[in-house]
Amino acid sequence: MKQLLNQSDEISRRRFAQTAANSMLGVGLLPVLSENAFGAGADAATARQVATAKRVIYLYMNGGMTHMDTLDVKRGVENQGPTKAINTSADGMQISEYLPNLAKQGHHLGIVNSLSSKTGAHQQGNYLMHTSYEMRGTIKHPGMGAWLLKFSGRDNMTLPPNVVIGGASRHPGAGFFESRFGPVSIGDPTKGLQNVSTKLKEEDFSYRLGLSEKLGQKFREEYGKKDVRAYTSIYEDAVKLMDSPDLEAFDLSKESEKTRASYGDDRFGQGCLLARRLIESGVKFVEVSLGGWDTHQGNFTRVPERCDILDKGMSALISDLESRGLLDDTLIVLTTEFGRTPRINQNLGRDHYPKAFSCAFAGGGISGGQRWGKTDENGETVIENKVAPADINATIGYALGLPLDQVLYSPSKRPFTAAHKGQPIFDLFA
Amino acid sequence: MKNLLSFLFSTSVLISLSASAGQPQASAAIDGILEKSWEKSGVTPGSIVDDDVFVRRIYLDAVGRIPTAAEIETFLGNDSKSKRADLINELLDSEGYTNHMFNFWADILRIHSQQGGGQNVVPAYVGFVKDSLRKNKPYDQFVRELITAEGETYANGAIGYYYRDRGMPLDNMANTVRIFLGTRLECAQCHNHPFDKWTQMDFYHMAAFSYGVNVQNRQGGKMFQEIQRAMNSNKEMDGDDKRNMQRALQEIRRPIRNTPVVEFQPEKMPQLPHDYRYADAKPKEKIAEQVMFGKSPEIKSPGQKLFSYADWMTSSENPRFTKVIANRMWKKAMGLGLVEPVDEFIDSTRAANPELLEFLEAEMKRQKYDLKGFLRVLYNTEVYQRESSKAEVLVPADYAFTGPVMRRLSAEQIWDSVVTMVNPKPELGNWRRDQELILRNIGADMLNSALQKKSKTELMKDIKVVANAQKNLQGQLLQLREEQAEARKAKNQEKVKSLAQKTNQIRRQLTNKVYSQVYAPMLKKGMAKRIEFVTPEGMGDFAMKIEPDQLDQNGRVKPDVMRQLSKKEEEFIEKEMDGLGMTDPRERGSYLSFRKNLASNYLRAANMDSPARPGHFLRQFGQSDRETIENAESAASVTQALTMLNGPIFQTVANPQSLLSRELKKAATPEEKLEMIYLSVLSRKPDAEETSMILADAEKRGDEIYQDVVFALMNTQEFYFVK
Repeated sequence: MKQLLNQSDEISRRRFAQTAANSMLGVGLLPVLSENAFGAGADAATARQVATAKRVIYLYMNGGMTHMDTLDVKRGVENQGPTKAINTSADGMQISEYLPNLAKQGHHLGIVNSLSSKTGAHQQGNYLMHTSYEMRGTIKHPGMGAWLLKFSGRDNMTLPPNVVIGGASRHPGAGFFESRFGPVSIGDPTKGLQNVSTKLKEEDFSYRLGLSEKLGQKFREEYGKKDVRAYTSIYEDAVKLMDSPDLEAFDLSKESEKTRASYGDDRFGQGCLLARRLIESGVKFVEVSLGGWDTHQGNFTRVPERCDILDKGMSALISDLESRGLLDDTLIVLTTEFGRTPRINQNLGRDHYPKAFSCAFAGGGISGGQRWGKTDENGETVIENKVAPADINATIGYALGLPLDQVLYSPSKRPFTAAHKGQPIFDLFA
Repeated sequence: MKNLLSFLFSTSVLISLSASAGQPQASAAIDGILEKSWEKSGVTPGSIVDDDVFVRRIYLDAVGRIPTAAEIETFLGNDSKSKRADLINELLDSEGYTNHMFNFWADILRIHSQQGGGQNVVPAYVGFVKDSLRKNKPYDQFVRELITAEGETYANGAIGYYYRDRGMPLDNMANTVRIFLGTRLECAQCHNHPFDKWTQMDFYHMAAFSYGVNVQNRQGGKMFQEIQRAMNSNKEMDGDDKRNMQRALQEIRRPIRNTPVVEFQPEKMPQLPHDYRYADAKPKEKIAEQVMFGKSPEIKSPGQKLFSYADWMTSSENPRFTKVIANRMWKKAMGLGLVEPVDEFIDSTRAANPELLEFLEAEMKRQKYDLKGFLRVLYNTEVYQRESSKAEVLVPADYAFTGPVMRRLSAEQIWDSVVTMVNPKPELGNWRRDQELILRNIGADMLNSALQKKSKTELMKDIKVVANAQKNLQGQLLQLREEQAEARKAKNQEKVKSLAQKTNQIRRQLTNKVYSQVYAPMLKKGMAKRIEFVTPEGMGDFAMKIEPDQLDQNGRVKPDVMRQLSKKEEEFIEKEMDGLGMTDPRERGSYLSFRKNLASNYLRAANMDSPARPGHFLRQFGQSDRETIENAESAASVTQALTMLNGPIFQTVANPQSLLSRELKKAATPEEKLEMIYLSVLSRKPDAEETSMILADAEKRGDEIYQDVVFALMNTQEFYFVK
């Protein structure tokens, strides 16, 4: 809590400095801004709690995960197609037959079946889900990982605090925050962080470093500016990182064959395993993505394949975290940009459908074995407790104890809040 | 004004030594204005920099890369009095200028190669911007062409400007006003601007000019739209039939789907939002165009709206248009605008040196928006050629502009400098890929004109034929799917795979059917296109004729055309090797493969994807992600150091076939080798102290010392910053 207070001091200091700088830049003094300037923070949730989660593992299903064949399976309707529901370990809660291992973790899952948005294009939907804001051509909003770091700083000083595994090309990253709040991207989880070891012989490497230091000295002395000095410290940090035992967090070969196999022999599964190793070393926000959900054709052959991968990785992650006592304060989120049309198209596929879709939470204070919201019997319309992508982010923020009503300003001086006025789903924590 | 100018000119001549002969008059006038201000505030400027500092600076600023050792020696060896002015001219006229300024504009315009559906549009847009720079198109004309762009990709690359914001006409207007008028309107989209005078109504009035710009993704002309409409309203067809026909239409359009068209629909007007809360209008009211300041342009007919918008925007009477670009160019040369941020002017904005900004504005008008000419004036000033600031410079008001602001190289400048060390032809693009992109648009053009030749009756018949073929194949597809589901249940992976292949085959049958039914009969010999391939750096231009039968079913050129292009590329490299006097076949072999790697991976940033993929060297050093305007960064980060220390970059520099390695081999003595390294990396010769220290180490390091020094210098601040 103390740290959080200091942080918000830092923020108001920064804002003061920015205001002062702007006036010096000749654009005139800003009017004094109240916290809810222009409505940015006005309707935002004020609820705060002692954080129930310290970190997040965010599993993102790229392409639009079909809700009807995963978390919202119906019975006896034409829309459902061949997919069947199975019981989970939670009383009265069923999910798709394609997720048998996850079903065994049902008592940890808080499933949301009432997500709804108006954004049916991939890039825009992905952006909205990550940032709570609609994609605009004039600004880029931060993802939740960046908001978390902005508010609460980092735990491990050598490792990057925010990591995306397997496909960050469209990730909003740090948004309008400084880039250091954005995620470091890991393409292949088995390869880990790039360029952290030298191919040179130890003595050659240190000779060259020393030589560089000597040959650069005159310039450094002559130009002692801040941006020049920054290049001295990043080299020091880089060498420190190269020697750091924390780097082992990236090395999956330190895991037993059995553990590795339990997560599934694919990038997503290994990514989940890497996510677990990273959060153990103090990394705060890890996103792991799994693509291939854009099943316009062959939904009923492709979805089971995707589900196999998701099922293995996510269920192994939950049970592994649980056995290490980390599930209680690690929030797992499973989400996607939109659902898919309940009506099956003529290519036996399902098309984009933002009107009703599903996501799930586990760990991090979520009380499992329950559902929030409901769609009608055909899976077409939300009929109970409708929520928007912003509410999902507000739920994440609430679990992390973030001040959802705290307004921060972009460099263009526009006011924003984490989760954009979304309301947390409190019931999931009860 | 005229008197003032001549007065200033004479003062500057009196007060200072001339930096360079051949200096334009306007350059002297700028120096005069600054000297007057220094005198007033008691500031002493630094001295004019030596040739080696100048040569590195001007190469980085004008062409965006460091000079090669050979280029430096040519310059240093020139004893003409006007050698600096001559070099400035030479650089501004080179392809390096085009590449460098492309980065500058790509960051402002957010040019994004990977934009969804933009496979054909973006390359054409990139081509348009580069060509405009290469030909030094006047800036006002360039802007006018962007904001009045209409038509098809292959006819007008400028439509990329609207394509970038497709579906977001309001954002597009806010971006246009920000980029070209340096004015922020985006806040006023949702409410009256909190810090400036703009109202939400101003926003919608402005948006009304370009709101009718319609970017259509798939097209096929008016006839397609008519057929579609007729089909939609046909009550006799049942749902399945309709869907089948729709699918058929989609299939027919597939080969041309990546050639969007921008059309202007003047009748479209923006609507106020549902929660509009000011008294001057009601929510959801439709709003007509009106300019936000200045004289309203005459709109002769609604269809002319875009042109009126452009005329008003780019008029020399527009109080912000000229100021913004003059200030941007000043920042380009000096590292800091006279007004910062360069795109946030308000009425009370006061430049750090108002007289100077006024002069620059007048000079921009006098030069009729000739940007090369304008930069020529700036680079020829004494102030540009003086020592850069050693102190932190944060805001223009705190700086007397006694020289350029020392700054870290941009991501593109660092990368392009590395490319300069390894690639003997740094300005050359990814030759084969670029031609492929050009050919793609040519193919789309041909298919499209084939389609235009059809009558409505013919097209209706085609649609029916395709719909039928589709219906027949659909049965097979369904059957296959069921088999596939069974195979999956039985966990027979091989069968699943072979069934998937079969499915693809059937889909291909449909593509073939579309091609033979719809396109092939209309593709006539007369449609052949002759393309001139122009290669910079004189690798040999040549022309090629593409016949319609060289296209495949998707309008792409067939592999044999691409093979011809590959062969051409190899010929170029062979020629290059002949020029280098390379005879040993083994060496030629290793050079060829290294050179091919360079030709696709070690190109200047402007010739690669915009932006480079995430995680690429360029992105690590802060290249803009092209998501928001001017989003490049120059902050230091640990990953940068890791990339330079341990990444693949250094291996490429150290490769025996890199330009630097081959030059190094030619140098005879250790001293000469050191000189070569220093010139190639830091653009200067080593001083006596450096030489003796390194040579002392050489006793224990042996020949390894040269790689040691290259590595060490590339990791110094002197490499990352421009003095």
